[in-house]
Amino acid sequence: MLRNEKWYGYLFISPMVLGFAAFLLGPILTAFFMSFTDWSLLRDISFVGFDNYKKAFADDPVFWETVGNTLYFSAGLVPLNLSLALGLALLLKKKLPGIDFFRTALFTPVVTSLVVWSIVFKYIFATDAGLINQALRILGLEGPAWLYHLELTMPVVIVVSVLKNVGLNMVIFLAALHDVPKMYYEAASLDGASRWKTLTNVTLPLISPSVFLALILTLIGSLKVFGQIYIMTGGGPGTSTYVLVYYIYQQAFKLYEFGYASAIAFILFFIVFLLTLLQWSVRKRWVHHEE
Amino acid sequence: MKKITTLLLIMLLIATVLAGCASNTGNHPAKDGTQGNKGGTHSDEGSGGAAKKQVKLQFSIWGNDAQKAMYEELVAEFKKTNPHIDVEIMTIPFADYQQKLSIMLASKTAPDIGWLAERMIPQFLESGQLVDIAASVKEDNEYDFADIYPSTLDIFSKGDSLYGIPFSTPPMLVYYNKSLFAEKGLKTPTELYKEDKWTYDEFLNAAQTIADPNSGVYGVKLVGDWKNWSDALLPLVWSHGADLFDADGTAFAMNTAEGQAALQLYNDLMFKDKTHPKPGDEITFDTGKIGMYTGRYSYVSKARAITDFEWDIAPMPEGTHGKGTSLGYAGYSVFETEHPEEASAFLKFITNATSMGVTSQYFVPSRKSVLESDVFLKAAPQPSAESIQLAVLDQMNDARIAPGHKNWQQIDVKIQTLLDYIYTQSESVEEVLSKMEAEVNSLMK
Amino acid sequence: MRSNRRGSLLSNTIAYVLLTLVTLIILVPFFWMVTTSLKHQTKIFLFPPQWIPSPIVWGNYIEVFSRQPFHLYFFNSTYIAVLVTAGTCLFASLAGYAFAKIKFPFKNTIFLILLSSMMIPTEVTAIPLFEWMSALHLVNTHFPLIVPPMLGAYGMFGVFLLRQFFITVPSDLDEAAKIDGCTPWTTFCRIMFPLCVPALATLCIFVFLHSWNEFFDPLIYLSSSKLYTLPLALSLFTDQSGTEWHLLMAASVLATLPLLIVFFFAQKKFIEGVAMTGIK
Repeated sequence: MLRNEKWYGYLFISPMVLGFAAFLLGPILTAFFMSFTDWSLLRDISFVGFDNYKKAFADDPVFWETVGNTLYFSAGLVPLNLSLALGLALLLKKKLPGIDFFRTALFTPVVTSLVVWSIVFKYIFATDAGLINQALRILGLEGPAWLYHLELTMPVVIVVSVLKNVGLNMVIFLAALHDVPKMYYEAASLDGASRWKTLTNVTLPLISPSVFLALILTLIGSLKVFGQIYIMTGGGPGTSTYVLVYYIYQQAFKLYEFGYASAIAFILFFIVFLLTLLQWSVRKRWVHHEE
Repeated sequence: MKKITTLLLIMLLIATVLAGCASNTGNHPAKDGTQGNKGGTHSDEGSGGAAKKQVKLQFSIWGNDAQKAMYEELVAEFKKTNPHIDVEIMTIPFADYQQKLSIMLASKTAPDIGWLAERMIPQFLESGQLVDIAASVKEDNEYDFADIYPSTLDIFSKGDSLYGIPFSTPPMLVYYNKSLFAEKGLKTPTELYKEDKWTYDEFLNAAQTIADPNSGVYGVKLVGDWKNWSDALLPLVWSHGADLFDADGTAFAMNTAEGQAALQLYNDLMFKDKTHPKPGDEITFDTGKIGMYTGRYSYVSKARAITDFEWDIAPMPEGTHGKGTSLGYAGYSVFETEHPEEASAFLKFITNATSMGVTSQYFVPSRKSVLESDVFLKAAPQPSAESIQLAVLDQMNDARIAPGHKNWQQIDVKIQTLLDYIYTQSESVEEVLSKMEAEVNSLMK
Repeated sequence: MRSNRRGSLLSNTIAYVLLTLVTLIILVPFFWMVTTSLKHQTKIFLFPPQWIPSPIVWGNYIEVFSRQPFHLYFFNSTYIAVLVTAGTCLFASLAGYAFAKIKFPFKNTIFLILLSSMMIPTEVTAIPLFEWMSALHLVNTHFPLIVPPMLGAYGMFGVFLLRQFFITVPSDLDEAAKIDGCTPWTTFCRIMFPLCVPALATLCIFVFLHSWNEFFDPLIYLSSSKLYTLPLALSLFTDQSGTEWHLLMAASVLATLPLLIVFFFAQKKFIEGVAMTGIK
């Protein structure tokens, strides 16, 4: 009986195990191998040792700029997204009439295609005739060239990305807030705790697992930003919005440098890997009740 | 045990269905199985003398649906005389065309024949992925090879070999909003041109007069897409006596006093005179808010849809070194294929005088007989035959094809990236040009 | 007591004001998209901006279809998303059930390995996968958009999600079925699969949404425009002479609408689904 069951187990997991081997493990190993070659459509392939990594770290200023831009994007997006999401979730938790409308509306961008969202914002942020600059003109102000400005363009992309996905973290937090047992609040109010105290001492610790998970997912997602950059800025102006995945795309699929692109891709993988490890270890210490 | 078998079968079935669906809706010749995408049927191989076996060609374009429909009609015509050759048209958008084609050529899944733009040709020519059609076209009297403007063939030639035939050579020209010119009581570019006074000074003057920031009207727009710097800048650079590359095409040559003057002019239009929309602006000529737009002749098909104002075309204005008219360029090439003969036959068919007459409804033909015919001049009520004569035909002799390089993709990205420092007003024209010189030169080796 | 009520009235007002503000910011892009899609091309950059188009040009929507075979892109997007969703749900629930309820050697090790693969960014595997697909002549087909996500990234997520679900199912059910002589397969079909439908709905929404909106993979794999999915097809309204915004916006509305309609009718499920994927 048991032996029989064992084979069922293997059978049931086999498609996913095969998929894992063919579409995740295999490619990641191959990417690692490719990163040591000068694999390209335009040349014969040869083994180049650490040249690609050396090029990235020592000879390619654009690579460092790309890393910097990616971190800038993450550093802007993650806190903004989480705090806005948390704020909205706290507001939505009140069972006020009509609150469902707000929840639905705020969640709508999440189900909208990122491509559409970015296109619409590219149009809205167009210089002079875009909606925002037209609005500013009504107020007698001259708006900047939002998407052709070395300092402003990245913040614009960050804001657009926050608006796109804030609804996701919002509903995650909302669900977590609903799961907090009422008695905790009652206890807090009996103790005469202020709203702020209740929030920081009761609510936040209790929903910390959700906050933490949202943090991980949002951070990792932000390191892989691509679509909004591709559509809204194309990496520009200059190289001010080149981010890792955009650079990988450009090197691999526009300039056919598969070897170099693999090296950058592997560096991205390594960063994500480290972050995951770090977060797992922090998670063990910090999070209150983990099942 | 029976259940396990059932389960296995179901999984297998699903897997097959998935794979099947994928390849069926996928690229057609994938159905041919391992034989690959060359579009031929197996029976074709080893057929020896009896060459009339059924062959299927793939023909790639970046055109729109209307152009595709036009080709479908031409293909139907072609089939009447070549019943054994099927042609399937594949559309790949222009922005990705070169990269997608490179990748398909590398994986041996490329079309047999297709369009190429001037900037793409050097790469494919260098890598030896184009088929020499010299013998086939030159030795065929009926084809009348001599009718094709020789200057348009240079880019496809290498010694005695010929790797393609151009079908579209639209010169850069000025589209102007006649209504705006009339409103301001200005002489139109056409009038000035006829008086031999159509210079950059007049051009700037008109731009100044027309521009009205309060109602969002601009005097001039040189760019369509902000990433497409070459269409915007080449005529300006050439007319000021500068050039993008040196004569051998081995070095960046724009970092000169003339090049600076040209770029400075562009810079000032945007930021000093403010007669040109600022970077990131999305206004197009057909909104009626642009006095003059410099674009290729191919834009007429869109302009013809304009109903709200009067418009016309004129030649580019005269600078210190002529008009610097640049020539857009597209040709057909036969790619590495298992069916070079059939592909060449089709290429010859779509570039013969009759077919080029048909395609001239969208493209400026490279055959003299077609270009000067009523078929082209009177294809549509607008622009008038006279305007076409002035702005297109009369300019053909002096117009130049944009330069190319085998590393064009890299160079293109580099120049576009560096130009952004002018667009963002963060660096001066001189600084940008010297950076361009250094970085582009390193890509041209 | 009274001050408390006044306090809550004040805080409620503040809540409404804040929510309205953020909601407005989020809804304006949608409104602007729809408005622009109904404008005549000469009216899209008017100053001051036209909030209500005049005249209303429904013809833009017809123009979208006459300019591009948009029905084809709808079909491509739909069938790809349906296949990916169905496949992921089936294979993930099987594996999730096995990992939760069936005993076999190395079970936890295998699960951990699969789980760890969730941190592999698909952008990193894209280059080698592209090479392989290219060698197999599967570039410029829909195959790479269907099978690798189904058994790869989405699949692993599904396995994780459903294992968590099956763990919460009391083992009594399983034991009872076993005593009744059910094999794991029949147990799965008759008892477990129906039970996990709510969790599957979550997974379905997640996978369908991602597949429908996926941009990177179609961008790198598809050359021929007749194979395009909706997100990619939107790029066809931009060319060297600029973008036709009125048509692009109409096309964007068309690409967004189907999912939004489903969302409005099944929003509870949607939101619950997404929230659950966050928590578990």
